[in-house]
Amino acid sequence: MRARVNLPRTVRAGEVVTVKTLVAHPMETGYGRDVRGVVIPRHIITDFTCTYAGRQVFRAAFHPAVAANPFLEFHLRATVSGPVTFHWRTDRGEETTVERTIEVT
Amino acid sequence: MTALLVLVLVAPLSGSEFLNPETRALQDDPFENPGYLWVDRGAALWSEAGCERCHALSEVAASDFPRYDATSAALIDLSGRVNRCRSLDGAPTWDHDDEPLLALTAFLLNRDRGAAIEPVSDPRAEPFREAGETFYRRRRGQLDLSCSNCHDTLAGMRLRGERISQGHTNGFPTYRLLWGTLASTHRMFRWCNEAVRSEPYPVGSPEYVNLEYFLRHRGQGLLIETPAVRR
Amino acid sequence: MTTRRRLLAAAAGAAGAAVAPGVIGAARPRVVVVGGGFGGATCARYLNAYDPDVRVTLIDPAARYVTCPMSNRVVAGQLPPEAITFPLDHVGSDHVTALAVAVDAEKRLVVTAEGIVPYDRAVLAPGIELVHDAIDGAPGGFLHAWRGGAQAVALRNAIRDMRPGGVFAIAAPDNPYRCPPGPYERASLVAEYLREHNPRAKVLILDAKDAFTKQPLFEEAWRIRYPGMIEWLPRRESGTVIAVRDGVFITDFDEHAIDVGNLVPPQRAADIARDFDEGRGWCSVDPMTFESRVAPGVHIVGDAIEATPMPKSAFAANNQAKACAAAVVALLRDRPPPAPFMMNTCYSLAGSDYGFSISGVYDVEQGAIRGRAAGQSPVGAPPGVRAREALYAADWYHAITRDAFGVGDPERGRQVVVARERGDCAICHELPGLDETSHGNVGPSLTDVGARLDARTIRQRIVDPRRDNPESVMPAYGRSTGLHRVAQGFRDRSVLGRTDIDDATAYLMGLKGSG
Repeated sequence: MRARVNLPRTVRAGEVVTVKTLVAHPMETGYGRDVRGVVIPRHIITDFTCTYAGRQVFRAAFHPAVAANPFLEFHLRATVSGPVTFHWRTDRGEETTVERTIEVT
Repeated sequence: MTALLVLVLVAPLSGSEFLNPETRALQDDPFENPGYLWVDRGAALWSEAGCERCHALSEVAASDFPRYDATSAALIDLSGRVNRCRSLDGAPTWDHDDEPLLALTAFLLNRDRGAAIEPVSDPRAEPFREAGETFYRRRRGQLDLSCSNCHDTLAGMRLRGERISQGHTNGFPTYRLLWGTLASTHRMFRWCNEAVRSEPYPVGSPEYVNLEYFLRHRGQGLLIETPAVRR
Repeated sequence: MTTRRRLLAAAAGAAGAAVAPGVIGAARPRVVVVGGGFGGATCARYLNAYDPDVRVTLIDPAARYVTCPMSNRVVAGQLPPEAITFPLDHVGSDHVTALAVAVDAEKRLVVTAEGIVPYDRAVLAPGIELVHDAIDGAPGGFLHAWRGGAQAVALRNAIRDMRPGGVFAIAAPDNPYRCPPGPYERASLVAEYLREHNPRAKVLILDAKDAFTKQPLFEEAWRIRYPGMIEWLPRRESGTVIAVRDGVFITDFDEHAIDVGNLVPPQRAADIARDFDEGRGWCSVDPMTFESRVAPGVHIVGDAIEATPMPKSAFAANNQAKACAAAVVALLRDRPPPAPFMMNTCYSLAGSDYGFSISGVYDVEQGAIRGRAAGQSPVGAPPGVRAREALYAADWYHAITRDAFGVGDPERGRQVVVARERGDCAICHELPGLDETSHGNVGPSLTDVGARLDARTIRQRIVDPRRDNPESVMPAYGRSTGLHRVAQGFRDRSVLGRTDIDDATAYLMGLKGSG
């Protein structure tokens, strides 16, 4: 799973920043069929978490109705400098992690 | 054009007034006019068909047709009258444009050549005259033209190279150069109807007999020219 | 919104300021068509064709329409703008040259900048509005070139003047939007131009979608024709364009330096239809009649409506307009509207000699448009197939612009006018080159008719001369109703077909007299 995140590298203390994430995934519902009519097995991302300086700040549970290549946008308040970790996991146990550092000035 | 319209209202003009000089000369010369072939044939038929047994030629008033017929309580035209005799004789009837009937009617009407059309006034025929006039004025066909549109409003003007006549019947049966034969009024009606892409009526139909009757009123005073020659 | 309400109030005060020409007859219901594009022009023409007694008024601020189909060929320098520009006076309706600003569905009035126009039924074909506020800094000087007109030429010039090796970027919107394959056709044709004139240049598509129509066909064409020239960045790669600055397109995740930018923003129904979109951006209609679900008597066709699965295309608008015209005519006469049967074909050009297409057939079931059949050009087809489809695209364009705008072919028109079995106009009228024995004089001479009358008048006189002059003797060449005892074989059809009348009008417009 290729994933992208967008958040500022440096922010002022207490500032609310916008976080955007994007992950490439087909999000197969398990109801679709291929060109020969064979059911395509379900294959979805089920879990997304974001931790900031060791603390979980955002979590999302995904279901089959979520479109392909899920895009998330949320906000967090920058309090301390530290790592921001993004983690996706699928129903097959595949995992992707992206890590960034945020510097509070 | 104004002058022509006034003429329409004041005095009807025969179709021969709209002919080019060559055609007019052809009509006026009994030796050149091909219609006389039918007239001569009709004279012979008058005897051969046995008309003489019942009718004295001097008493036949061919130009009074169409007229009211008490038997059918409708109008009857000259061809219809001839066919009635044929039926009574047990002989097969003729179509309007069968050669013998064209010949007989041409012969009979030719005897009145030069006389003015004076339709018999008969109140019983009035509804049929009105029906004929309604037919005459009604737009019809895909081209949506009435008889009156061309033969009243536009008479004297040119359709392509040809001047439009007033559409009178005083020359019928008439020799049509286009067809190379003598033709009845009803054949001409059919031709006109088809020209405006309207479904024609059968020759001898009540609609055409009524129209013919109306046209004789409309052409009152015109001199009979049978057999005329037309384009 | 408030602006339009205020205008409505002002119009109500200025009663009698009607701008529509002519007199309204009692048996002549009036239909006002707003918008002279493919939907509006087609609808106006077919309203006239289906019922010549319906009085049709077309409202459009312009005297001519510049089409979006083939505008990418203008952008790529392959066609001059005149080739995609059509006058609206051949449509055959009364044309009010004014901007329609509001519709009062209760009073049945269209409010224009010039006054009010009353209607029995209205058809809105207003097209789209571009929503720039979704993108920070937009339009920011970036062209959209998405509604025909001058922008296509301006974009063409910008591409022509781009520095060697520069980047031409297209920001493509998310669905739904006008002309789904448009951005990719544009990228292709611009690449074809650049390959010739600026070979180190690049084309970048920043897409708000992860997939697009005919994608395998476009990608195949790009591999074959423009290897390495076109980069497509779907939403899953870079997100969508959220802001523009001078020389920069900014997506959710990246900044892209560009030299020439083409910003195709998200879209919604044009302003005049916004009172009927229930806040959803697109108008909901009953597809049996294309009547608005919220405004009785107001029909809406074309790009302004939600018509899934039909795309927002010229062909779809054209077919919806015909279905709508048939329904409007039926409703005006208290007859049940016929069930629509519609189709769409979108040709795309990936090069001037490289075309492919997608087609669909649609009907209506249980109040919804339903796709009945569909087809698409095959991937992997040989070059000859693509070349032929490019020719079909040109033919399609010729046919649909004729169908919508009615600009005929004068050479064919001469045949229609002269041939005895068709118009045979010379039986009553003088025509150039005929001597006195070959033409009539019942009607006025036509040798200078193009100098005396405009196209709309010539057309209407051919279709039904008694609409202008009840005393006219001339047959109605475009009417098949109200006739008595038509001969078998001529019933239920007019003397001349619509195309014949278009052609005859074009020929007669060229007769300017002189010598």
